[in-house]
Amino acid sequence: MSSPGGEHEASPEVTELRRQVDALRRALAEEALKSSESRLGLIFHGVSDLLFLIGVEAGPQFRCLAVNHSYLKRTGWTQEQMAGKLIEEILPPEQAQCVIKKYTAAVQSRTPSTFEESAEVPAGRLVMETTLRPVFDGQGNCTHLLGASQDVTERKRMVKALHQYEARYRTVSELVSDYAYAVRLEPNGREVLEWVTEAFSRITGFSVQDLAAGVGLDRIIHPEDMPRVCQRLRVLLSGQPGVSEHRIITKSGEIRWLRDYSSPEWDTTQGRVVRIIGAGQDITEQKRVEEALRESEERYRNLFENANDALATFTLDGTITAVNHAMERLLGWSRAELLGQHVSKVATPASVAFAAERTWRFLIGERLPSSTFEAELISKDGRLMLVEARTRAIRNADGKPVGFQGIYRDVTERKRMEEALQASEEKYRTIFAASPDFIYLTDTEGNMLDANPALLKRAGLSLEHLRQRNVREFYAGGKPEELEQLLAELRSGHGLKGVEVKARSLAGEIWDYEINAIPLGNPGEVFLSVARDITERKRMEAALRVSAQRYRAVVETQTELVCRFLPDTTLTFVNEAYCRSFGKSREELLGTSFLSLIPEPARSVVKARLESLIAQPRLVISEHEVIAAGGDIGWQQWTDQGILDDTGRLTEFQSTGLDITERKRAEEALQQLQAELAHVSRVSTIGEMTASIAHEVNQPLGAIVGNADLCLRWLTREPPDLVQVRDALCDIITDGHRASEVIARIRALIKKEHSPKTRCDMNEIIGETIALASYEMRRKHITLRTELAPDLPPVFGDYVQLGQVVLNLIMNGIEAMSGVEGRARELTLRSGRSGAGGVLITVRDCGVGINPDEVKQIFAAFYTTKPGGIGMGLAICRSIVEAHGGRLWARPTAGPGATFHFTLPADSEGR
Amino acid sequence: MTEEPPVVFIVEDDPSFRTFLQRLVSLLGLRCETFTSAEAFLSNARPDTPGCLVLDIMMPGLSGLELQRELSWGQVSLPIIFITGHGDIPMSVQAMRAGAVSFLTKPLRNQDLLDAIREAINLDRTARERRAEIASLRRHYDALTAREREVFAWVVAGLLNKQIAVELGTSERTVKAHRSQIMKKMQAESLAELVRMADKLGITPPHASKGR
Repeated sequence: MSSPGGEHEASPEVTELRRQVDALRRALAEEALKSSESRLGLIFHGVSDLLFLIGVEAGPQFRCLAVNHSYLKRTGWTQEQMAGKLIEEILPPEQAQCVIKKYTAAVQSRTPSTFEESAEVPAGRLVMETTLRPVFDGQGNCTHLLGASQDVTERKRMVKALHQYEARYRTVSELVSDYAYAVRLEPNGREVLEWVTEAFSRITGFSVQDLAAGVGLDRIIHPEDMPRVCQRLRVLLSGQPGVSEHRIITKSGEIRWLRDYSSPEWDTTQGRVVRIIGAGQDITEQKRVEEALRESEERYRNLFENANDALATFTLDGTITAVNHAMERLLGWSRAELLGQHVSKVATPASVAFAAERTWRFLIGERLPSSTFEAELISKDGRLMLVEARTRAIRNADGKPVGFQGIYRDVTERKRMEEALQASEEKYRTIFAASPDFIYLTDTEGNMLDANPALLKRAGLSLEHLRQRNVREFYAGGKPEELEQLLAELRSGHGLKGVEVKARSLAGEIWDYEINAIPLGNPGEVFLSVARDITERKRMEAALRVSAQRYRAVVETQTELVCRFLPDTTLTFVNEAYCRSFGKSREELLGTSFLSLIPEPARSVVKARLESLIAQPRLVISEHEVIAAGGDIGWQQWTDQGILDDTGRLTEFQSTGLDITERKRAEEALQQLQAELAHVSRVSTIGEMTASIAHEVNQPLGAIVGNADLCLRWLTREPPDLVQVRDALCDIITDGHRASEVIARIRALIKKEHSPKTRCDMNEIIGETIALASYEMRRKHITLRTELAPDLPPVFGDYVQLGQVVLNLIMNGIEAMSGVEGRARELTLRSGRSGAGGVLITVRDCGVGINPDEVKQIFAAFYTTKPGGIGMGLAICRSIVEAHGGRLWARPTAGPGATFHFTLPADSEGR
Repeated sequence: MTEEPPVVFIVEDDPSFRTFLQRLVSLLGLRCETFTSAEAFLSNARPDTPGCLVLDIMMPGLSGLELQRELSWGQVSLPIIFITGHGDIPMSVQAMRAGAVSFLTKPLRNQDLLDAIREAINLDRTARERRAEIASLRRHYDALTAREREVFAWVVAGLLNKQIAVELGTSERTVKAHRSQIMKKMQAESLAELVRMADKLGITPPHASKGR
């Protein structure tokens, strides 16, 4: 903050400047005077100008006739050295030459000439402005030259300075924008602006014309400051000068601050103030700075007060002059209790002494090694605290230190940390010695400095030998630039983390290491590296990668469908394969029932299966049709498993599925093929049975034809024997039906179409088959025994194919017994329940029997003992039985012959 | 020797066809006996009457052909008419060789069967008459003494009394006496008749030991 008075007292510079300007002006006036005097004025010797009179001689030669005192005084020459001497005798030749040239010119021009010259004179170097006036005699001859030199050395300097000051003033006035004005107060009270400087217009934006045109104060002064300005005016009118600071509104509407100094001019004759002369300046910027300063101080105070670090200021002798809240908190003393107290109240004597010594050293100008030091403070409750103190000198305006400001930080905690660090260092040492990892120190160039025992052992080197080596010698990574890059990284102060490199032991073994390294100390002093042998890990990783790839390959090519759903069939999870399989997105599927993905006919079966699973949770594998992507009907096999909660309640199902459409198609194709083969086999069997069949048909036909013939005979009698006719006709009808039944049976057996699976009674099938084979048996004189269980459960299957199995086994038995002589040819057909609740059918013959070695072979395709057989019968039987979920096997019979068994599962409701 | 009315035996397992056969046979006014199997026929006592057997060739148990064999072994002479639902040639050849009268295939013409039955019965009647004649000759032959049977054999062989005496080491006179006794006992009028009888009885002449 500058004082207002300082601004108006002339600064030393300005005073000096004024003085010089006056001197200059005076000198100029004197010169003017001299030039108007006669050539030999009385004041020749009195003037301060350097005057000299040159006589012009023939040649022309110039002889110095006289010089005045000022001349001698200024140049340091003596009268004797000058007077009566030719110029050449006075001056050194070059200078003389130059002067002579000028003098000659002056003589020839006959007019006064002025020039500046500089000369080396005994008093030093002079810069002079010399005016030469030719003096003529009565004949008009130039006889003399009168010279008047002014020493302009000083003037030159001053002009230069003036120029500088003028430039400076211009700048300053432009920047400072001082203005001045005069207002005349008329007797009638009118105020007339007498004049105002340009600066005012620049500041306010109002031109002189504007002001003359009557722009009044009320327009210029900020309304809020108007009362203040009026008050000022009243004071002024009472004859008192004053200063005011007030705001104005410029023509462009901007608000600026002015400081206005004004003084009244009192007219004693009129007894009133007749004029007010004022000057002022724009202090807007200053105000802004002031405001900024105020804010800054405020900020400083805030900072000081609210800093987390404890702050205090002291005088040089250690008296506390200020403390902040943090300091109060730290020490437990209040501000009032601390201010004015000596620092020894809160610090240990040792710390006080140390601080005092620092102060002393500082004051004698010694540079303190660090602005930070540790001190021990004592709190109000007597607790000793270690603090880190950072002090700065507080200086007064002259830069003299008057006190200190200190920042104190409680480092008790940090000290503990340091101690911990020390402990940690010990730990480091232990680790260094015992670590299986390889720990080593290198310098910035990679030269080995130290290494732990593990490394020495691995390297096969003593520490001494190791120290002669460089890390580069161990590097086996194949890319030396990689190592250089790592070293550069360390040199730049960055640590290395988890860098994998290959290194070679002395024996040439190459291992993989993972390196962690940090630069220690000042950047680039020493590098601490820890290398861990990861050879095994690498190997594992490689193995893992292979394994992971394999796993991924499995997962990616995984076609198994996975889903979870609630008992009400709402899907809660589906995997990618599931989505793909149905051509729907996960979003579309989740939350919906999967039943919509199953064609209507299969739904009830799936529902029934789930219900049975809910009733009795277990793992169930099933197959059913689905509506696959694109609307095609596909087949899927599902393994459903209920997920139970803690209480054993079924909450969800977890199912894995396989697309078995292809398999089903293959199965269907196979079934088709098998059906065709079975058909061929049936037809072939029928072929074998031709004789029997013919007999079976001819039997009723024979009776029919015979009876019909009889009827004719009876009818031609006289009288016709109608009773006999009627009986015979009845028999004819019966036999006709019998014949058609035989035909139907055979047709059924040889028809090609695949008959749908139905619920079948095996006893019925056996009965039908026996009917078909009965004549064959008669023909081969085979006695049939049947033992059919009356309570046989039904089976689910192809009536014709099951009949074929029975027929094949009967025919087999017949065949086996065809060569038998001397014992009963008996074929036994038995039906009953199997162990698993299904049906067991047994066909037993007492024929040639089966060689135990052949028991397995007989079911193979193309295995035959018959000269004309194709060997498909039993193979087909087995495939038919197995396609129905049953089993077919053979056993030698106790006694002669063989026994064939086959089972079929009972037809269950759920299927 | 009184002529019994002929009987037709029917062995047929098919009831329908059996009934039909019964009806057909009764049309001829012949007695008819039916059996459902060969075994049943064999186990039944058969009246000593002329007749024939209508036999289904295919039957469970003993087949028609087997029954035929049984009958021939048992020296039973009964003309057999085979009926088959599906006859094949080997079967019919075998049947005919074994002495079947006829081999008919179902369906058959009634007249064929009727003719066959008639023929068979006639055959049987003739056979029966022949068998009765032989039986009477056998009775006469059985009345001969051992020496007479010896002489009988030499006589039908065409030897003179003197030659027979040499063979037997006896006198011509003795041979002559035996000869007249033989003629008397056999009720033969001439040597030629005696030779025919010997033929029917199947007496083969002994080999002349010496003098040839």
